[in-house]
Amino acid sequence: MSASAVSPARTSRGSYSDPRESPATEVLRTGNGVRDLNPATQLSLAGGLALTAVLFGPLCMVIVVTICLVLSALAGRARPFLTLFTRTILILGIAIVALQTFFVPGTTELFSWWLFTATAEGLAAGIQIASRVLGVGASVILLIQILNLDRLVLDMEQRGMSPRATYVITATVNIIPQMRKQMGVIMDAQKSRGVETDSNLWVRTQAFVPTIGPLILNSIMGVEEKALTLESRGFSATGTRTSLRYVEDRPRDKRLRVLIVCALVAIIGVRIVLWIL
Amino acid sequence: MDSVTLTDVTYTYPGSEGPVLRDINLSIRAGEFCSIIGPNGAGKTTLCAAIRGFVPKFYKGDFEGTVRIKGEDIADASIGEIARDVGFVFQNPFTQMSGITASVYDELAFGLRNLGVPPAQIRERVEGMLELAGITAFRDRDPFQLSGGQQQRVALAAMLIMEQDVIVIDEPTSQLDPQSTDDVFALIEAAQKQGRTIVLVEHKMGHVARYSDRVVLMGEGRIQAIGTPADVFTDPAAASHGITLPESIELAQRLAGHGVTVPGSPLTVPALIGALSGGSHHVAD
Repeated sequence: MSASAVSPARTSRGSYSDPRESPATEVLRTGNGVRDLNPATQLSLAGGLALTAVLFGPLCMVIVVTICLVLSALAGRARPFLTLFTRTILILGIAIVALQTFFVPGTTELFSWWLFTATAEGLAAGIQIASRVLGVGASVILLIQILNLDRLVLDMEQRGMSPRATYVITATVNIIPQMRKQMGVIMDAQKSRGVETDSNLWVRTQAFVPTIGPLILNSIMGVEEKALTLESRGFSATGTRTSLRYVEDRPRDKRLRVLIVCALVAIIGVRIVLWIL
Repeated sequence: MDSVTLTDVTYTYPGSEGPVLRDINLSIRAGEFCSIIGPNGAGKTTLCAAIRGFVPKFYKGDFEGTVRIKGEDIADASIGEIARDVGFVFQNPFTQMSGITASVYDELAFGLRNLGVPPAQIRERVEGMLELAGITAFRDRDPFQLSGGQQQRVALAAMLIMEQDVIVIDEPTSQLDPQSTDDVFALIEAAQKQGRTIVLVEHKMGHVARYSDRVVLMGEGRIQAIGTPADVFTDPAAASHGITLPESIELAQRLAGHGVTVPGSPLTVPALIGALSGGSHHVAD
């Protein structure tokens, strides 16, 4: 095939051009200090906090959750952080403590309720597990609040991840709202055929089967056209791809990541010493 | 110069009992608007897939003959390489979105990014295509939040922006209302005026008659008739293959049954009205 006017010099398969080389590229920023940290720094930060919570349990849980809350507030996301945390992780933590307290056998009885007996050993085990769950959960929720998918994918591209891998990640995340829209169309179609979809739980459950079937079939049938569409738009073309935007990895990000790694080494060291003693 | 040439093409899908395409010989000139019509199962979509290289490269199966794009055999080119010369637009706009872009702007830029076009050139071409396709108003909108007609224009624009010489379009208006259909055809016509070769599969015969330079009638995997819209739509083969004729041709034929002969073959209703009101028709005694 002849090269057309759109085909610049090609180098290796699946790499990206350095976006900083062109004045037509732009930095992808949100305007917030925490959310504008490099995604690798954000991942390191959340990972470090989660690991600390796992290693130290109740000792550090409060500190980890507080740091997560403060960072969320600095990112302007304190309210969604607290909402998500209290509706998911906190409830899970309380459930773990309650179940452990009543179902882990022990010799020290705290109190009895109906058929169940709360034990001090169960309570201690519950606090140990729940504190780790709370710490890891808070770190994950922090990450959800500060990490932007577009910036993460761009950063991975800049670090050499293959376009196919970044496509899979982005398409997987985006497929949920797309399928929700398709689901709406199918539900409207089923309603027009007399299938009841807006009523009590039993009726909704009955409507689920005639809705989910076409959704899955449509999705399977759409895969072939989607693949061919991508091919038509040069997705499998070899050579360097263009980036229109880029994510900064500033010196402060690199310093912060070094600091996180040093802190983690120190924390692991302290944990080992505490285990030995 | 011929832009697309198919020579002795016969193709059978894997597991299929017989060939879907049989001894196809077809040449399409550069810059020509060629429409492919025919009943369901005639092989229209498969013919398009052969021009784009999806047959046999994607669908596999038994393929005989040669397909040349701008004189070069595409047998040895990968699907990705063919993408530089041949674009393809499907009938379902929903599956034609890349699925990874958050705005129409990024959707148009997607293909150019894959081909490594420099950023400044991408921005210039995206702005130009937004304007040409009349979709500037939704440049920042999520492609999946657009209506079917808007999505189809975005899909077409996303293909046209790649500036391939040949654009293959498979039933782009089958899910669209009349206004959206007109908008899509206006965009296809604009692409042809830019010098692109258009290969279109379409069931809306009024539009086929109005826009096409040449019409190919397919039936049972073979080319049954080929020529100008007037030639094909007045060919008895068209009726025998269950083709719905353009309103103007059908009206002219009915008038002929009532003794009113309209000269020529008016391809549009306004042309028919013009012929009748201009006094060039003949009323039998």
